[in-house]
Amino acid sequence: MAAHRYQRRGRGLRVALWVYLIVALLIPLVTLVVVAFTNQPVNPVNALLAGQPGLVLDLLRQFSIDPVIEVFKTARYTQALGNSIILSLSVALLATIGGTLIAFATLKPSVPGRRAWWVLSALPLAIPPFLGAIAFKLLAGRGGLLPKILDPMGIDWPVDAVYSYGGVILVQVVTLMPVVTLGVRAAFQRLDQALGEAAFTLGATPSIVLPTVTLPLLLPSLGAGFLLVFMRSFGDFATPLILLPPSKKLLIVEAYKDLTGGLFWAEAAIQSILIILIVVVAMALERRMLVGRDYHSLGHRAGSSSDGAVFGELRLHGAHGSTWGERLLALVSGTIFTVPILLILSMLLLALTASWGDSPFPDALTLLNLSRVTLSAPRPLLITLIASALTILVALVMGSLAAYLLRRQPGRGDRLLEFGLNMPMVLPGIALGIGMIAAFNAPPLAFHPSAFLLVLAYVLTRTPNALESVGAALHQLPTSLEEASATLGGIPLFTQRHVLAPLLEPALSSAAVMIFFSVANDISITLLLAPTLFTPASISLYHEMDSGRLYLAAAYGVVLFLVTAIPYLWQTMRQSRSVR
Amino acid sequence: MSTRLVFDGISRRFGTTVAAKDVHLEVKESEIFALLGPSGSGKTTLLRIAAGFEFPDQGTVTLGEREITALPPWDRPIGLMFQQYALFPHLDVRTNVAYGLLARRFRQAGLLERLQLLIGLRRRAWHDPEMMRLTDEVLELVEIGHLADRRPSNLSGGQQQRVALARALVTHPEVLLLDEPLSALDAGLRERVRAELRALKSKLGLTMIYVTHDQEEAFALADRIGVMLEGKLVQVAAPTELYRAPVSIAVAEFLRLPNRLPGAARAEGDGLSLQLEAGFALRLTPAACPAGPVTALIHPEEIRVLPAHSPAAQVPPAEGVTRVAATVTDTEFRGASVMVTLALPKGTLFALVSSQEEGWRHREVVAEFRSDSVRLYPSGAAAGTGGA
Repeated sequence: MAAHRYQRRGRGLRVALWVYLIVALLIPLVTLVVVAFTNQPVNPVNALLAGQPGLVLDLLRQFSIDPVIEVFKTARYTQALGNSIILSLSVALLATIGGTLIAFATLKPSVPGRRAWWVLSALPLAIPPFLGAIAFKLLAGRGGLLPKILDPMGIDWPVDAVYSYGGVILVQVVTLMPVVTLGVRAAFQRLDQALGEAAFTLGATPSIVLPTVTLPLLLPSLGAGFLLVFMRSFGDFATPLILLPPSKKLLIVEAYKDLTGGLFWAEAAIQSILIILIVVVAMALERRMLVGRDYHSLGHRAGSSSDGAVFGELRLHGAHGSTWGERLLALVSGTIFTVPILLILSMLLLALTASWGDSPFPDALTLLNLSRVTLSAPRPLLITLIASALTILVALVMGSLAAYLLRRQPGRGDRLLEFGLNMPMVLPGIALGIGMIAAFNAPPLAFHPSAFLLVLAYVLTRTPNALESVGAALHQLPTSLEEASATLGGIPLFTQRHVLAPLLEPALSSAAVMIFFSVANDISITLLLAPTLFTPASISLYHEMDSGRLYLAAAYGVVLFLVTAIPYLWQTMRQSRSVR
Repeated sequence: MSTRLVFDGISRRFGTTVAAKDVHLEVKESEIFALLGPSGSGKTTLLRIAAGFEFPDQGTVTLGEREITALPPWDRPIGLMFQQYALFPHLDVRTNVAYGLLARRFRQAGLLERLQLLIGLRRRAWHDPEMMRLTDEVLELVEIGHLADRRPSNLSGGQQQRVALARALVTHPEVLLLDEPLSALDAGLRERVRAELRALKSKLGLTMIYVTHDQEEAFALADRIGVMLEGKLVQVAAPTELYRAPVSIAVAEFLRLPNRLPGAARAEGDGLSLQLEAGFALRLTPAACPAGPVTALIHPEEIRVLPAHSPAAQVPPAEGVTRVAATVTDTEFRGASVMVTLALPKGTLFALVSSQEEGWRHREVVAEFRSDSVRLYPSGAAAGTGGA
């Protein structure tokens, strides 16, 4: 009797999680493979469920490598693949450099404006690539703010530069850079103060410590940040969709066009698989980079830097003021942060514009655009709220149950289960959407198109947020608290309510905010899966933009930004304060 | 005295590690029983089996008349004080202490009251006069009534320890388990709390099982001590007996008793002739141990140290006293006494001498001890099981 029955609960939950993973993740992925090799949008499980095993045999007979070879022979696809890789590598490189500089600027007490950079460093996180691209187009694109202001002054604004790979890179770098900043900053703060001091006592000067101690210790975080940005950029559909003209090709856009433009099933599926493979390889590299490289906990706890001293920096008494390097750092930070601020401001100005003639300023301002999208036509926004609320509810419940199971009642197959639950986080929405449409377009699992399938896809990709957040909190929570409750006579329900729930509340609310933010600003899954009667605000925003109604689009953007970014920023600040 | 908690043939293994092997133990009513052992010896496993967090592969646990082997923790009238106290950080001191009462009420409640209890914890604690009385009573008992409204994070280590004690006592458990409860306190506070725990025991007649790796703590606090080594309960004895007569050389080693001298024993008449590797021999009657390789144990306070030229060293030793010439190579001041290191021809001995005499270092001395103060343990294969 090695384990009491109360410790063996969760078997049912395990089974349920596996069933969910098979339906929501495995079937679409398998279907993608089937489609890629047969050019038939058929889900083999469907055929089995419908009692037609013959269909599966037919499918097997149609298996052929030819579509794959065809794709790799076609210049359009190979170019798109090359473009995508080069673009994402550039974005990752630029974001890593910029993000690290900003991390330093927010930590070194002698950098001018450090507080401001600290506050601003989280701001771009509140601009999802989707809103970033929209705002960038509103700022600098055709009919946008800058041409409107500059043209009457006789300055020729290079509008075409916006609709280019450069434009995509700019938007992605600005919106993804905080990923690096926050990661590097956290790693920096965890560094053991004594290591830098040891180097000083051994005769090293700060300029020796930086390349020999500080940077090598930060390298895993830098590498992880680089790969995270690469993955996000590679899977980002919104920015190229909004900025790139049809002549310029990226893999993710081509996959989408192949499906929606002409139902080229095999091509769309093959590209989706390629995208998934590349992202998964990057994810594996990223995990690998952090494993076993956690130097921070070597020996003893990291020293606190509350006295304002920074790792690898000697605070000499009486040495005040900033060096030229630090002033330059401040200048770079300031320049980088003008972009997100300009983006938000231009979106706001256009949202308030009634009409704009040939003058550098709007002819008239109005609140009508904003009131239209919120009050007179609130349906898209309401649908966003409903879809987000459902996703949050399901993802939080499932994520916390799974986290509890994995952290507190480990069992066989847990590593695979955890991988399966976490992996969809990096799964590009376009690839998942194509897999889901192919898998669920015929009975008996005919979920497409439906609000159910849309929310299922949201849940699949956002549950990892909850799992990670609650899992980390549970990991920090000593099991003795739950045991204390049990010895005091608390049955599990009582313990869950009065010990676990209150102590996990911050993790839950942070996950909820994250999920709301990312669901409300999602465009890839939404564009593919949302049924006509259930179109959320992000789709409306895209349509308004597409049909040239810039002021309405801007109004949607402002409302989405306000609704999602404010809780998000508040959350980030709260967390960074507790880290500090 | 009647028996309170009985472990009968408890075995528990984790994978290939044996955490407990056929442990038989009877803890008596109103005693402080210390489970003493190095980390990994299985003492914590035994404690967790008593609390209901682990369940034995074999054997039974009985509390009073009732078998509790298979009961979940919340159904056992057993309190537990955790090493790091495990106070609920989100509840104030009073609610922490009242928690056990509320949890019990929840178990006994009907559906409606359960719902009410699920909604608010604090409010229930305030509104029930009986619960509040019990809570205040135990808060006063451990003298922290004035801290009732604080959060655990605003308390010192000693205060947290008291809250943990109060929380464990409020439900009047039949047995209180303590998992190294003093290890997080500094030395001075530890001594005070030890005295208070003893006082509490005699006041409440509480049965306590106290897990520790610190022998001094066990000696100071316990009525009886059980020594665990590698999953086995190797000796159960009162502190003085444990110190004087450890059951095996492994126990002596764990207790860090100095002067464990290897040697060989030979039968000689009605006794033994003992040749020690340290370079001297002695005769023991009667034979306390089979002939063969042995380890001899001599407590430092049993050794008398005389300056080589003192008159006492000139007279021949009394009957049954062994005398060895030695040089003092090191001294360690211990307050009332001094531990001296004696260099023998081929080894060292440790002896306690009075600190009133000074200048021991580098002195030529003779060390003498009564042969019957020597305990013998067979070495080699039989080590750990035999005894003198």
